[in-house]
Amino acid sequence: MTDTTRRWRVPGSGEAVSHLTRNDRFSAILVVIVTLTAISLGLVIRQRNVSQVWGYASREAGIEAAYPAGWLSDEEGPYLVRLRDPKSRPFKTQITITIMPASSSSSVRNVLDALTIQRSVDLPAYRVLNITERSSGGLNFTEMDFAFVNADPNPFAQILPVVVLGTDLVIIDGDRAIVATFMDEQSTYPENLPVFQRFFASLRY
Amino acid sequence: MDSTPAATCTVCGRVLATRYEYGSRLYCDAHLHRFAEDIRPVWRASVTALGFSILIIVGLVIVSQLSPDASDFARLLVSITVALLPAGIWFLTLFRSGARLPSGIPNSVIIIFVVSALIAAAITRPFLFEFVNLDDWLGRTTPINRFVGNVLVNGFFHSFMLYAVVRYATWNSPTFERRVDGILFALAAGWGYLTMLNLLFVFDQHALSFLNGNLRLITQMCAFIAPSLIIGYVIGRNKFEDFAFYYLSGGLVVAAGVNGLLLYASNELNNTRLNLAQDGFSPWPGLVVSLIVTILTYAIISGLLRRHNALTRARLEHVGD
Repeated sequence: MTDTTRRWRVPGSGEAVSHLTRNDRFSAILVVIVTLTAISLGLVIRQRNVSQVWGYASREAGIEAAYPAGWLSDEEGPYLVRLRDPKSRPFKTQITITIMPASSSSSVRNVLDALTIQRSVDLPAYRVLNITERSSGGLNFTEMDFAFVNADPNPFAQILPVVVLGTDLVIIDGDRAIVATFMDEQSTYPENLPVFQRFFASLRY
Repeated sequence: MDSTPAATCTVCGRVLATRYEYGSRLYCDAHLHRFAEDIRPVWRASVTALGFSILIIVGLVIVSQLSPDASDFARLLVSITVALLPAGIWFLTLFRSGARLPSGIPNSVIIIFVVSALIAAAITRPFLFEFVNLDDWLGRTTPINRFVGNVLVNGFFHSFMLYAVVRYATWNSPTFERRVDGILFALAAGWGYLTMLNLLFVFDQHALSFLNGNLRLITQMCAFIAPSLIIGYVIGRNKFEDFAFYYLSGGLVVAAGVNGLLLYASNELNNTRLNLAQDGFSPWPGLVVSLIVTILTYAIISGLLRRHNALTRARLEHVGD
């Protein structure tokens, strides 16, 4: 019994007993190593995949940006593009880019007022929460935070209205204003805001 | 004074007056002739549970046709029943048939069931579904990544949990005295684990649809029962024979592969073609594949184990002569 690796006492026997062989001991360790290796490899693949982005480019507007892989893009509305997370419920987390004309005499304030007037008609309980001048990486822009209630217009839909928080970032680029807007349900807004910040950092125009 | 530890029986741990050796393990006279015995109620219970699962499927088809607009509470009750019934049938058949055996079915089977259920709720669910948020990633990524993620993360994690329960809770127990006990304990672990995961899924969703939702529970059942059989087989064999150090990990890899494959197939195959006649989802392809793989695994494992037991008994008789 030179391959003894474990001992314990059996009641009544009064003797030390041993079962596990060297192979048993190695196999017990190897199972743990194989499992940890496989799970770690899977998590690395997941991490690389989660941070994966897809590119958006509009030759017409001369705008490029990187958005989270798997989001759906839509160019059929009053915006340049709307990117939506198909998995989010009940309100689809979304980023939109809107191009608005901005003459040399118009200020950012005019752009924000135009957005506010339009949204107060389209969006229930629309409220502007905050307007701030910001600067990041040598770029000056204006941030406007807002909120509204998203309710399904179908009166038979058994879904509670949700409070949506949003952020506009407005950049004046010559004779146009580029408005990047992020909207998400109140509870997940702080968690998903970094997605929008990465998107905005990737914006090229 | 001789300090060498006394030779002891692999199963009961008693000091051996007469040493009997098989597969580089030492046995007392009683356990040498017992470890190759079969426990028929294990197979009977498994076949009965599988048969009942098929009856449940038929029942769900009928109920979904008869009352498609049932209340949430009724659907919740049906889902809880579907989640609990296969495990209940397995235990009922096991203990009723096992009552006729001289040694009976060890009560530790129930403890294994409860411990596995607690592990599923306290470790698996928080880790995989909240910390790693695996389902969210698998829902967004490509089919290849889904397969890899299912095998590497889901498969290995689930299989290791089932392996760990059986290996660390029963390996040294005197109640683990036959090869088939490995399968008995692994199945008990598998039933506890999958029943808890299915119940939590039901409570998360509040009420599952009669057909699509409840058939998912049956599909998940197959995805955990097939690897439990594999894990039970390798542990049951390794306990009574000294195999190479990679034997258990090899078994775990196969179990993880089967678990990951079935979890992947149960989702991927159900996404059918979207057209005017189909809504893009059908629960049947994944379910059929899962049932076929589980039945095949059962047939292979039971065949292999019975063959090994018969060979062992023949060898022991030959040596006895």
